[in-house]
Amino acid sequence: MTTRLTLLLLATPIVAALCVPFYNRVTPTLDGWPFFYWWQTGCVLAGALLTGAAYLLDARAVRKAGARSQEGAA
Amino acid sequence: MNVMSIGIFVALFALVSTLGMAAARWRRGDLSAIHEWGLAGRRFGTVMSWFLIGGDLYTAYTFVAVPALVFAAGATGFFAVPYTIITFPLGFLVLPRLWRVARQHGHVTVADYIEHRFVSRPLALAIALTGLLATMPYIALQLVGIQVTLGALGFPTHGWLGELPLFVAFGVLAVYTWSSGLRAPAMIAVVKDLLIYATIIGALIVIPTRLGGFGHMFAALPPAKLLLKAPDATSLNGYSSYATLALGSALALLLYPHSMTATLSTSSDCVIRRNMALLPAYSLLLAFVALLGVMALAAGVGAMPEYADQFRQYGPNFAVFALFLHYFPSWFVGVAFAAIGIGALVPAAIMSIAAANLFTRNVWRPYFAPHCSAARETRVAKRVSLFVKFGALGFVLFVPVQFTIQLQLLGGVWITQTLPAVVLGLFVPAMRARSLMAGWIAGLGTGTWMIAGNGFKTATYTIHVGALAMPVYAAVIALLVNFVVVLASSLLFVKPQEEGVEGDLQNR
Repeated sequence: MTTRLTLLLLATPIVAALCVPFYNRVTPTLDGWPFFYWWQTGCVLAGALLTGAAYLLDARAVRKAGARSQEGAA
Repeated sequence: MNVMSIGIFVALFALVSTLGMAAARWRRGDLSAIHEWGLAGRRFGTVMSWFLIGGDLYTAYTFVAVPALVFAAGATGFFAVPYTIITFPLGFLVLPRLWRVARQHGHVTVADYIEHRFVSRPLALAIALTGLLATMPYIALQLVGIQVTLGALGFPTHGWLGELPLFVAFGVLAVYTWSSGLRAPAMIAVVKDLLIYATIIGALIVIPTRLGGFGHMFAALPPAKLLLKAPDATSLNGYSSYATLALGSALALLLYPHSMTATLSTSSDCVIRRNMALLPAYSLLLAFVALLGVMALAAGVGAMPEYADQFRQYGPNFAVFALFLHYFPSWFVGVAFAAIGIGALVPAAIMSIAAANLFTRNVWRPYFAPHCSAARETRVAKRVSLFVKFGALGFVLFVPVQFTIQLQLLGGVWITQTLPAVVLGLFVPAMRARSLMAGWIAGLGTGTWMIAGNGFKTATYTIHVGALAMPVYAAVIALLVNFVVVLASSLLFVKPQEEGVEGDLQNR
């Protein structure tokens, strides 16, 4: 049940992790971490949240589809 | 040698060995069936799978080699982080679908699926052999990880007596894999992962403070290594290699037989999707592991006379060990080193099971014993898993480490070439075995040729477009060649009436 929104949610962290020219810099720093390091570490968290959202969307779509097919059978 | 560290190390090792033996009783199944021995009956729920897949993908070698790379090369070594960011969304798209097909038809390996999907034994054999070849040096590297750990604990690692602890660790691994199958590494993974989390969190609390904060820590990186080398007029420098290494390694990781085995052992496709959102916890850990390399640089362990001998013997791989020895009391060193040592046992067990499944199901059975019983099949798989581990031990004892690392490099390039067959097979009905075979041959050839051209030293190959040089991960170029060949031969040779026959492709 892959919808366009799920695809977008899943593609975002991949793009964020691959846009090297954007994050290959020192500033702004965060608690002494150069941008290069904290941005990518932040992307791990964001990626987890977005993949989690994709999972929830997906699970809801599957439940709905399941309910519909049961109605159809009844 | 420190009695406290060794005592704790040995005690934890004994604990997981017992656990490994006892695992045979966990959710007891008929262990003479290959899907029970080699996939633990496809019964792992969300939590067990989280420990198993996490313990499987983040190997001991990762915990040693990633900080070592950062220690030696700086920012470039951080590519392990975007690599794991990319892995899980991709896995979310592909793995649940693969699981459903495999479950429906009782496939135990990816090559089982390939044979069924394309009705082609040669293609299945090609995929199985690629998996086997890529896995062997990977298992050997796990044993190398144990070897460095033992050396860091103070055991002598030269001579006959020096290899003894490695033999003991190896023997324990062999026995519990034999008796409990995939259940053993799953149980052990729980202990391993908890130890690893404790170790890294401990290091993160203690070391940066001792170094005067993160700002000071990063200041220790030489300016040239703090960031990637930016492109100039003649070359893309660090940018293209960093991005393609991350992308290519992510693709390879999903295709390795041991990740496939862990995936297929889950109890539902939902468990897989949920785990793709939960597994990044390990990626976060990995980012901190990579920082251990920065910490080792900042602490200056490379210049400390007490570690000079070991740095000479193990190179930058010793960085993380020196860091722990320098900053922590001996009991914590015992815990940390046990985490790394046990961290080698989990993936080594899963890899040897995955290799055994592949060999038995896709090489031995179809060509040598087409009508063998399920029980015989499992007996063969167990023997093969033992043989694979002996092979890895032989590698460690008789082959220079450098050669093993080079083979593992090549293995990553090779395993990536199975992507079109596995992924296109799931999503594109019109795919045919002959096109995929042609692509696989082209990809493998290109990849091997490029790595050989580098003298087997590095995985990035520089391509020239006009006056611009682009260092790119060889696996990615080879994969592009592979795709082009698959596409071209599909367009040329697939007759239109052959299209759209595969029932498995329907969305749910």
